[in-house]
Amino acid sequence: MYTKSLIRIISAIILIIITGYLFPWWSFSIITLIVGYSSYSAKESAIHGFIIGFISWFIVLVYLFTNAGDDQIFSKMSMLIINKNNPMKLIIYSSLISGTIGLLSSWVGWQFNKR
Amino acid sequence: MIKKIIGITLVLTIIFLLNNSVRQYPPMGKLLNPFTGYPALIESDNPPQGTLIFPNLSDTVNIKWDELRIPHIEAKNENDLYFMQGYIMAFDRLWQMEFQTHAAAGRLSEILGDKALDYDRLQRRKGMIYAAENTIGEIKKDSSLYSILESFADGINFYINSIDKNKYPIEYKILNYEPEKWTTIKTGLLLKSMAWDLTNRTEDLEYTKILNDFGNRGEEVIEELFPIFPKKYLPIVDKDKLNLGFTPYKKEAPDSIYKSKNYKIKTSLNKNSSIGSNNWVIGSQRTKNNNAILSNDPHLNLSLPSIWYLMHLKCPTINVMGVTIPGSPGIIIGFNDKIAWGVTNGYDDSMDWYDIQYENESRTRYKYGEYTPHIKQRIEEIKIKNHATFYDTVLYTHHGPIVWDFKYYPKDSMIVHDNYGIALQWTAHDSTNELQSFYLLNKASNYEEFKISLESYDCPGQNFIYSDINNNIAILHSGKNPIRFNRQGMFISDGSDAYYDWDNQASTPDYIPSEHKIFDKNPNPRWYLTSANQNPIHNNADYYYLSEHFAPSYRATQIHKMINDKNTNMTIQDMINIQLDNTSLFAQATLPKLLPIIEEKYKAESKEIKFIGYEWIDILKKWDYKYTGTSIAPTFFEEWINDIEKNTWADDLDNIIWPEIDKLEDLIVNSPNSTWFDIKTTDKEETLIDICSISFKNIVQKLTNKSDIELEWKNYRGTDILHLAKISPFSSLDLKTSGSENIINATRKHEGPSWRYIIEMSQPYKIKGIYPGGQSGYPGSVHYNQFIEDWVNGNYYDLKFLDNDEFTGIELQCIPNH
Repeated sequence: MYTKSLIRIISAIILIIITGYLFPWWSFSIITLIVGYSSYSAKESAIHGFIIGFISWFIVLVYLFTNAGDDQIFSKMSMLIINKNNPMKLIIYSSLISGTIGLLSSWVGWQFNKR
Repeated sequence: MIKKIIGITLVLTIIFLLNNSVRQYPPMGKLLNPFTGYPALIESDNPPQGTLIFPNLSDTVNIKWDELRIPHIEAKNENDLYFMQGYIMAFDRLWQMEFQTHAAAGRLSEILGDKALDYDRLQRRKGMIYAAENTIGEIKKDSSLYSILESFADGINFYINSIDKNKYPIEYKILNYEPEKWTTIKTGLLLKSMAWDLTNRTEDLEYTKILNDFGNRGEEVIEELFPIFPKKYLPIVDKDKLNLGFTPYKKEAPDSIYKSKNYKIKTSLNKNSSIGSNNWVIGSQRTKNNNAILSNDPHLNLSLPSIWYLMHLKCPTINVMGVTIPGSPGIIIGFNDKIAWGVTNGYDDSMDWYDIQYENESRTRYKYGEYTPHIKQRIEEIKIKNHATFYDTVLYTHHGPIVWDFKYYPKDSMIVHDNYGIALQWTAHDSTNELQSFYLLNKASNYEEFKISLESYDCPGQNFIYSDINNNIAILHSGKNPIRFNRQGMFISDGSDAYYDWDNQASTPDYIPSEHKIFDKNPNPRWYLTSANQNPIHNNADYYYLSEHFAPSYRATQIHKMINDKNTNMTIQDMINIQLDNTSLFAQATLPKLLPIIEEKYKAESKEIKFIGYEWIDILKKWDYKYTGTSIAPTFFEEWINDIEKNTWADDLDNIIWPEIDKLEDLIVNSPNSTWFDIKTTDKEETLIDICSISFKNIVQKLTNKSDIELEWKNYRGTDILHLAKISPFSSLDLKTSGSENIINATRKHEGPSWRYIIEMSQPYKIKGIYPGGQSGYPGSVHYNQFIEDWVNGNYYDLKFLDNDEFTGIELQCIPNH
């Protein structure tokens, strides 16, 4: 059961990262909606949706941040958006956006498949 | 079912809100996502390398970037050269280029919403688009020049079309819009925008108020407070050049000057201070290596991305390097393999304002002598983000557009009569062709070609300084100037009286002929030339009236002094010392008069009062009159003088327009009992003694609780270089600068030397340069503000003119696809 969930989550994250560069930023919500549709409970759909949404943005952002070298854009954007020079905080806030959308769309997916 | 609907609605609403700008907030989802948001731009400003195919090219073009990230473009023909200039400029500065054209054209509401509507209306009413269209129309007459302009635009468009949307500069993502196709008119708009910045003279309205407020004494007060030739001033052209070799055309002043009563300024406008640019050239006779040395530091409002962009352009007919305005082809200030040039603002009055009396309520005709000419209408369509389009009807007379009337006027002013409007006549409205001047200047190889290139140069009038490889030195006061009577155009003119027209009814030419322009070449025995925005001519010279307002001569005087002190054997280091000089001649002249007043006053007062602030007297006594960043004396002196200035003028002139600081010096030094020092609101008749001590005490009190660190000039004033869209993290704030206005290093809070450059005409050239910014327009890049720290510290870079300097750097080969 757990292994199945884990495979589903990892597959969804990989799919989101691949499609993220090809489709509009919100397209990941369709993937989380499908994940929700195939979930076994409302709680599971919500948790999985959040985890998938959050992690898919978080790992890419952290990867880009750690490989940014001299590029100061993370630092300047954190000053602009959260008024603090704290790129990690901005990365977490950004990932909460994708997590929240993932949670909601997954839950909506579950609603369409409620047994 | 309800849950499903609620769920879907909620998800879609959140996505919609995060996909669009809400109020001032950017579209967060679009902006923050790691795939197409701001992180997609990481290292996006790394120059391309290797080989790229450009179908528009007719031959191969090679580009090299040096360690300062200056692109050196080498093409086989001019069209390819300018195509790649457009491409590379867009690569580094696309957003800046386009945003500035939107601002110039009055299109900011499309990006920023209705908060920019007033600004946009004013831009339209000033006739910015009208002026740009006229200029492009003129350029079109010259097919080869227009073809170059089109190649330049094609290069920009090729870049825009070649990049993925994810790679659009970050400001597009934050402000949520996309770049549009570049057109030649946008280049025209940029040039007009620069012309406006350097020539705008709404002071006519303010002088008119003074003229009216003082009734019968109006003209006398104007003459006294705003002299065209101040008591102490140093013209650009020497005394011995008084005989200019021609007789100027005369236009006699009318018996009485027209006094407009139709416009009322309520508050604040200018303090009438100049930003300050300097240039000078030293003849080989005075230099250590027997080569002419040219220096230039044009001062402007500072911004990020920087106003300037450094480039080197080379093809068989051109080999030029220097700074240019992103969005404009060619080089504006720089050097080629034969000559070098620099500019300061000429300060000529290029704008006149006219009262227009409507003939009827529908505003379709206006009074002009016995006639009632038709008013042309131009409907301006202003698109506003998230709002309905706004339409403004701008009325055009033979003078120019009516900027203000009862339908639209500045918030701090008012139009008294509904049937009057105020029209603007501006030399930049005409079919001017400055682009041709720069095109020819970039290719000029000697003084004659330099002079010919500037014949088509109209607006903004500039003092072009010159040197060449044969060690000739020269200066030319360029620009299009109407032939006017003395002080014509200083006040709002009578738009119904043909005598105030620039069209002189064929009795004389309308404009000063190019052969009458002020110039000087190889002045013997002086062997140097300089300009610092001062009046170019001596007050006894028989010449034309150019303007009512030039910069005081403090900077010019100090440049002369430093050159003459060194006298001979001058080097590039001497030029650097002059450019970075912080000496205030104003302080040097006034402080010895002000300090004894305070000392006397303290002696006469009680011991207790004497103690407070007394230490400032010691500090000021020891001051070397230099506005050095680490000194605290300039902080006190600046505040003190500002307060004296306010106490002197505010009661007499309101907060409308005050005389230049050299007038205050004149009063302090020569007329301490002048009635201008009397404060009208008190019964007592104040003199300088009273004003001086009142202000001293005010400032002692104001600065009492500040620490020594806070009082250091660099911390107290500092300099802010703001991002063009005022995005704070993309700005460079609180820079620890030295200098101040009316000092050679005229760095201020928001203005300063936008480009410092020095060139020795040796073989090979020795070139130093720096500007406060960096080559990249991408705020994440180290090249965005790379030069700022060195600029603050007074450092320079050695510029490589590749003919002489080999280097290995990033290289790109651009090939056509045939």
